[in-house]
Amino acid sequence: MGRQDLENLRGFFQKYKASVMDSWFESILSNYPPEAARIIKREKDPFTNPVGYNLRLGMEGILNWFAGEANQQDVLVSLDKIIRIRAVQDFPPSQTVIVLISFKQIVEKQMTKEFRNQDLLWKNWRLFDEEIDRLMLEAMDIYAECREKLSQIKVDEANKRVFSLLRKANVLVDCSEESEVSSSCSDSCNSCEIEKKEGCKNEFTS
Amino acid sequence: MSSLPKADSLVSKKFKMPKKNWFNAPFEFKKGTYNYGSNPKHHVALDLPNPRNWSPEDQDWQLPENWKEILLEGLRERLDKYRSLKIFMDVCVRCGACADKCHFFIGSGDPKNMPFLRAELLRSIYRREYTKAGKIMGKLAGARDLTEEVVKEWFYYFFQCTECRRCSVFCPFGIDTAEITIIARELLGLLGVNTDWTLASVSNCFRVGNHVGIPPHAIVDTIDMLCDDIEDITGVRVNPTFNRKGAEVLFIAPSGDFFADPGIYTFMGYLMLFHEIGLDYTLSTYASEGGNFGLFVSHEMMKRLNAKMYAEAKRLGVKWILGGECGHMWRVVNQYMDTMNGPADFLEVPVSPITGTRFENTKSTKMVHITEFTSDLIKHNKLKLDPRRNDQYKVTFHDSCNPARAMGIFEEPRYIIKNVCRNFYEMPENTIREKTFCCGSGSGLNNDEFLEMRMRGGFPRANAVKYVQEKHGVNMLSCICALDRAALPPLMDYWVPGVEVCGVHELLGNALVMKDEGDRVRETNLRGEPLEEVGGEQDV
Ligand code: SF4
Ligand code: SF4
Repeated sequence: MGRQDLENLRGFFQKYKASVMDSWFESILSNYPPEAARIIKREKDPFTNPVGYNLRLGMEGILNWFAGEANQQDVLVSLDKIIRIRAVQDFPPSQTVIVLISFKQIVEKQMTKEFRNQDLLWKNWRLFDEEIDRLMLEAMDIYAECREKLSQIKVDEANKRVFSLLRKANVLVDCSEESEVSSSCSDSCNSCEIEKKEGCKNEFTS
Repeated sequence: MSSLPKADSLVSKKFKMPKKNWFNAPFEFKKGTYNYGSNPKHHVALDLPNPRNWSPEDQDWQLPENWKEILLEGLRERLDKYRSLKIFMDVCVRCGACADKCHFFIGSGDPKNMPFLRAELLRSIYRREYTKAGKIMGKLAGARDLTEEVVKEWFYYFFQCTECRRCSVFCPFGIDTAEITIIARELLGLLGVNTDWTLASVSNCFRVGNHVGIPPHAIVDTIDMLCDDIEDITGVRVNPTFNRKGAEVLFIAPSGDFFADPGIYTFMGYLMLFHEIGLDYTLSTYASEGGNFGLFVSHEMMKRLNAKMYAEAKRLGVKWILGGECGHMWRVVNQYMDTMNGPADFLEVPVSPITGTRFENTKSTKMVHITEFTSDLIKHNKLKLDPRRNDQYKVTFHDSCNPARAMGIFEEPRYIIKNVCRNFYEMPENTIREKTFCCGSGSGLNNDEFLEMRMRGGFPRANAVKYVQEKHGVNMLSCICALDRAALPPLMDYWVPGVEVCGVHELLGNALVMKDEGDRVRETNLRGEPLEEVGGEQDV
């Protein structure tokens, strides 16, 4: 793929950003009950409607990236905004990633309309397809990380709730700032799950 | 006080009633979004009906044979007893102003989490049984029959309401869905349908004195350990007393403040303050819980737990009660105590022994909120404070629902914070004060099995924190509620990593320059984190 191809693809996204965004947002809204979808769509205040606001931000970020107006790091932050919300809402994992599949379908429709020349269509599509697949893999990772975070939170919460009792009962071994992790951490150290020190290999055991 | 919304802005143009019969929409007990059913041993301990092993996912909930009769009779009784309930059942005009104000609806998109549809779950039964139109026209008049499915739906959705009262701020009629939830939970309780997390806490509190069920000697040990920490950090030994008869003041904090991280640092702040001003106070190992999970079970249970604090105040012969940074303890004291267990005539109207301020607002309950007490001290210049010791924090303040909406405590905590730190940033106006967003875990929903729903419900709050994090670099979310201190850290961890949570008195403890410290310079804050070089002497 040459530089010109990339420019073509970017030009396409610059041209159709707004209309793709509209159809894409509609398709995401269709996952929510109509009463909710109406509010998520219309309410513009970011604090009254954090779901709508953050979904939009995330989607715009992804579109900007395809339009060559955002960098690699930003697109992951944008993707995170969408996936983090979906990961705690009432969706199975597949429905979380479907956001990107519907994006793909919408872009496909628009591209077929835009590029009558088969060769041009193919070039643009391949370039887009590669990137979107990569984003999809990233989305899976973010989803898994979100779910793992939830499990970790449960463990942390259980400890924090009775923190001082655990400390009193000496269940927690103190990994103090000064100590070398390797020498001071015994295998039975549980405190690291509360404040995991760099380099500590112990897993929570109790 | 921030201004209330104008009347014409309340009528929502955005909202339309669902076209289809909303109550036919199916729901499912999915892991992460419902609370576990109550363990029978707590029913026995608290003398509650229908002890049995059950799970909300069971087909058969083993309700008592005459469950319908019990429920309807219970509802009738409460309609007679609470005028507010009758009004709330009758006056909703479905204007939709509350529709998008509930954090659970905002975060989940489930229409039955819209406050008025939540209320409608109960209202539809009320209409069927107690209104002519409902009796005759049934569904056409928004009425429906009471079935076991309805009971299940109540359990699901009334335990997806944190009783935070945000919706009531926006309702032109002041309909308080929290009160409806309270009644609905009470009705479910008549059938033995309770949540395990709440009942376990209530049963511990009722039998042992605190939600965690920690016996007196362990409480003393734990607090002693916090005194050691204070000594390590400040060089000053504070010596709280326990169950001491004849003390002037009984201090009651939520137990989370002496057991849980990060509540303990707030507790250390209290102890340091009391030592510094030489307050004649005692702690109690029996009334060792400010929190009142009884509020989340029934009026009766709330009354029982609240009475315990006053019984202990009487036994010890104190003059008045000082209460720590707790949420629902204050809702109970401020809104219900007086008619439930009060007036507390055997106590005296609280007067600050340091400033002489008479707390007329607590004339009947005789219980002063610690932020009122401390801000009065600061106002009278009784404390030496070095706000630079909190310079590593960029602080924002979360108005905890109960002190905010059930008490109107807005200024006192802010006044303290502004005196003890130099970097304070407010979250956006429509997410604080009366309009504050709930942590998503209140009213006994702060358990692990409900985590996903908590993350959804807490999203609006987290989103506002994220805004001040991005705009001002905020890294500390302060609050005046122990439940918040337990629930906000995971919420931040998921949505806004990098923001920690603290109580206001932790910040005060950091800034407090104690006379007994002498020339000693503190090296760490209460969390044991090294203090940044602030240049020159810390003690100003
Ligand atoms: S009281 Fe709070 S949680 Fe309950 S319906 Fe109203 S806004 Fe929602
Ligand atoms: S509860 Fe109040 S705000 Fe909500 S729909 Fe009814 S009248 Fe309107």
